[in-house]
Amino acid sequence: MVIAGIQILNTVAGLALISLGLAIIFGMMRVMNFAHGELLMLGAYSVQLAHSNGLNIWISMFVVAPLFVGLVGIVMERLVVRHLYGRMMDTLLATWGISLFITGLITMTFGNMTRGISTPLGSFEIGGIRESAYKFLIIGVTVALFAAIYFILRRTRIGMIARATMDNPSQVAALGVNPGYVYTATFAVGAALSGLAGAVLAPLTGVLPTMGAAYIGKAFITVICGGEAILAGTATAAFLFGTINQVTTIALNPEFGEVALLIGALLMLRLLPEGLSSLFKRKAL
Amino acid sequence: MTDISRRIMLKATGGLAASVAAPAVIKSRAFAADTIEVGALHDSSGSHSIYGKEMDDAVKLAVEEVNADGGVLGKQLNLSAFDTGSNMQNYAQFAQRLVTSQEASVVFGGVSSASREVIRPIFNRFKTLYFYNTFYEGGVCDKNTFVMAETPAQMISPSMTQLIKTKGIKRIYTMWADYNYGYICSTWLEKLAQDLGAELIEKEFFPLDVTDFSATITKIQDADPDLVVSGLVGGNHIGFYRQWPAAGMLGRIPVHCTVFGPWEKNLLQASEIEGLTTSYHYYQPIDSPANAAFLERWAKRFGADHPEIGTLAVCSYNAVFIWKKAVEAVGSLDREEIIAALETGIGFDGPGGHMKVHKETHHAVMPIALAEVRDGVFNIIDERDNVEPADTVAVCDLIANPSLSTQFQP
Amino acid sequence: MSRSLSFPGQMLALVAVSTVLLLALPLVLEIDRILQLTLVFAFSILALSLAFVWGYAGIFSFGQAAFFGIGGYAYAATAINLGDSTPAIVAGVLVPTLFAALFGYFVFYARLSKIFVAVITLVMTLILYKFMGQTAKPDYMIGNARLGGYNGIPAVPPINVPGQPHLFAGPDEMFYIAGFSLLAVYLLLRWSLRTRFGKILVGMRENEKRMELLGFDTRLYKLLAFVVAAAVAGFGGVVFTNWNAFIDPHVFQLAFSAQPIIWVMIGGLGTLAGPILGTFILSTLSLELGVQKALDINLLLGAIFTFFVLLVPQGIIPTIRNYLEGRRTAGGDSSEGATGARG
Repeated sequence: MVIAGIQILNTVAGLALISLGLAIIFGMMRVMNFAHGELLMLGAYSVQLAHSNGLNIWISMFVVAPLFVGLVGIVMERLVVRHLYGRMMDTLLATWGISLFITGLITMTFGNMTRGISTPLGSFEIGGIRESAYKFLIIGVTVALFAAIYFILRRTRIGMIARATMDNPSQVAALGVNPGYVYTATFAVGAALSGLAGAVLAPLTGVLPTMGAAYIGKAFITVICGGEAILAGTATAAFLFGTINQVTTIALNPEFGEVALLIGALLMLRLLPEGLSSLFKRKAL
Repeated sequence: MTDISRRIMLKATGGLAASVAAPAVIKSRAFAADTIEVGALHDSSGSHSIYGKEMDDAVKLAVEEVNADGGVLGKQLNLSAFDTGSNMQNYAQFAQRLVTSQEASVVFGGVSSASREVIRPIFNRFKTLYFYNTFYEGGVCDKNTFVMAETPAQMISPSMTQLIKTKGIKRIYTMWADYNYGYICSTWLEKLAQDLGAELIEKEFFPLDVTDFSATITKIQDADPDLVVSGLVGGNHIGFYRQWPAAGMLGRIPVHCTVFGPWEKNLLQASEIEGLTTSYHYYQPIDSPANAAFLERWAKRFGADHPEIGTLAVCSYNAVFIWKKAVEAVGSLDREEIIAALETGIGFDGPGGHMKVHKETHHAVMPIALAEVRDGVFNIIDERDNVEPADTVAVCDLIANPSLSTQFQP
Repeated sequence: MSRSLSFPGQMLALVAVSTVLLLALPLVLEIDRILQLTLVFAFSILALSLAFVWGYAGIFSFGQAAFFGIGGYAYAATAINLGDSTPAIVAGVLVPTLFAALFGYFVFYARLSKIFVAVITLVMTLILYKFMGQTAKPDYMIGNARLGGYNGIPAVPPINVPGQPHLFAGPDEMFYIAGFSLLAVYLLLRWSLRTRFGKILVGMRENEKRMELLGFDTRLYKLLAFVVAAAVAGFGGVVFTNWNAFIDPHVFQLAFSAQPIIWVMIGGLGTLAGPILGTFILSTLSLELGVQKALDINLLLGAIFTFFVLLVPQGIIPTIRNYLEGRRTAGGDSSEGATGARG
């Protein structure tokens, strides 16, 4: 029972983790980033390559991956996304072109095969059942990231400026802050978080040029169903869908886990077209 | 409509496969030409490339060796090798191109079963001889198709018999990829286990995109079986082989894998897979003069640092030579005569031992090895000669029913 | 030139030219080119379905490939069970139509916003992919047809003369069937856009509020457009399944559902000819690049696509037309509706 609980929490955390970067980019900037899956993939490749070239696994995971993918985010924003603000459907189409491009580039460079890193941290035992200790790391990282983002947006000057820019860029410009930089920075942070998520999950799943496609659907559903509130909405949606998925997987079998998740999302959107955030008060995060 | 229906050809509907009437478009084979056209269709890129690449290389090597040795019937082979990119649409397009504008005499290839079922009807329709060289779920029974690779009976029967008998196994937990291969293998294993006095306590199926196996690893521990049999397939399922040792389970319950060659092994650390067992026709460490010579040629062609190769490469390699022997036996490229010659049980001494055609099924009789991973190397712990594709033998007799072109499923 | 002709005149000219081309091509082209063109025709029908629902009704649907796939599966299952293609073609159009009616009812009567419709049709496609992928169990049968999971359904009976299964289409006949089907679908959609229904759709795309104030039930019209497009896509799926007698779940994959969007976008949103052109260019490019593999196909497609979204957002045909019209300066509104329909 304890093990089942940990597994459910782990699925929820995984879902929240892969959605966080997307939630920031979509929630704050109204950009449908369809290259999100590829940012996760690049994070996974960063940690795999850095680690297999002798770098410490934790440095590869928590420093190299987010930094590199954050840089990719800056390039993406400067070259493409910034020309499309306010045209949500065009951001979807353009980033999706980028997603194809990155997939192709990585396939050409590293070949279309699964690479892997072995899972660190070993295992623990509860009630005679053994389970990987890495699961706790995923849960821990997710909670820490959500807390950090909440703190930054609510309590720091940077967070205030970012939120104000999204509401009213000209007002911020009047304060002497270049809104263009704020957009770039926000996009980069979202990208870096995605890279980190991909890096953290890489030891469990393996690394493949097309791995992004497996995440993109789930991440979008979580963010869209979460609605307006970036953090609370995403966390609630991840909790709901992660639980549905993992309970179905344990109770029936993995064939139905993800189908149950998707059907749950369809029903939810019919009941709450504004997403789960409509359950919270306005201006929640 | 009159114009169209007038042009529609009258043809008996013998087998759904004959879905396009071919004769009108087949050009007369260029017998006068001084080369023989040979086709190959393998996934050198895409999700199946971990399997397809070495198959493609093997056919290329074999064709080059044949040519260096004077070709076939005094003619050089001209190989058209297409990369199908793990995409069924490409298979259909390239197969059509091979049989029409390229006028191939024989085609080697197809990696997944899905790809084989897409192209097999095309070769039937356009009367082009076809060799499929991937281990698969068995049951293909087709006068025009030869399968020079393992079926479940060959991969599972000798190895499981050995394991069950020597380790006193009673309760087996099985997990499979959720597609045809998994269902058929699980059925075969269930029957075999019963005969040997063991029992399958679980048959669990996983869609090919599942990467998280933690729920199952917990279930396995609850069930506490004597043996876990994994029929997991592909890049995503590799996750199991990482999560199993991560949960500290390695060595606590033995694991036998029905799909685990160098392709999977190379993606994992030696410490993650110590003690796994697997069974195929060929492993690179097989210790024989024929294999040593073969590996030397392989290294010369593809570099000394080539990735470890497995049964897929050797089966593809053998198939080219078995076809060559049959052509030379008839002395022409007449497809029906070549089929008749192959049905005499033509064999070839390949790197993995003697492989020969089983005439009723168009499959292969071959030696089978059982290997255990030790320090990241496949250690051969048991070998059987002349293992028959018993599952397919039970349902298919192409000598009695030469018009068949189907796949039997249990 | 053709601009001086009336609409029926233009269409007649088009029919005449296409008929001559279609009848002549098999005489001059190699058989594998004919087979390839047949595939492109099937894809063009799929592209037309998206061109209609996205370009004219303003509904961005990720699900056209899903209806295409459902049509293919419905055709395959019916043809295998009955042995005759005629009811199978009907099923191949009817099943996706009904499915779209049911699904669309939920979506449009919930008044979901544009972006939600995009995501929810994507979810539908992903569910279908998951579902069809796990039908490998022998108990997933429709009559005698085994769904087969990721392996799909091979050896599907081809189109035959109604009532006479032994008179079936060969590669040349299939080419004609596909080509004339594409022509028919094109004419049908062109005609429907000239009707009151078509004008309401375009009006709705331009300003939904205004149409509602004028008393139109926009939910109903959106649903109707969605259903028509699903029927067209399903029919495309029937032709596709016939092309090589197989259908498998890859048509529900993200990568496949993405293709019609690229075709339509590059050819020109808000036109019907553009998407056909886009399909021809890009699917031929994919095939040729698949043969020589110096450059990864995704890399190139991605680069082209991003380039178009940023710099040629209208697509090829409208850009050329604007250029020509700019040169003639006289103006005169274009026959194929305005552009700028994306959300």
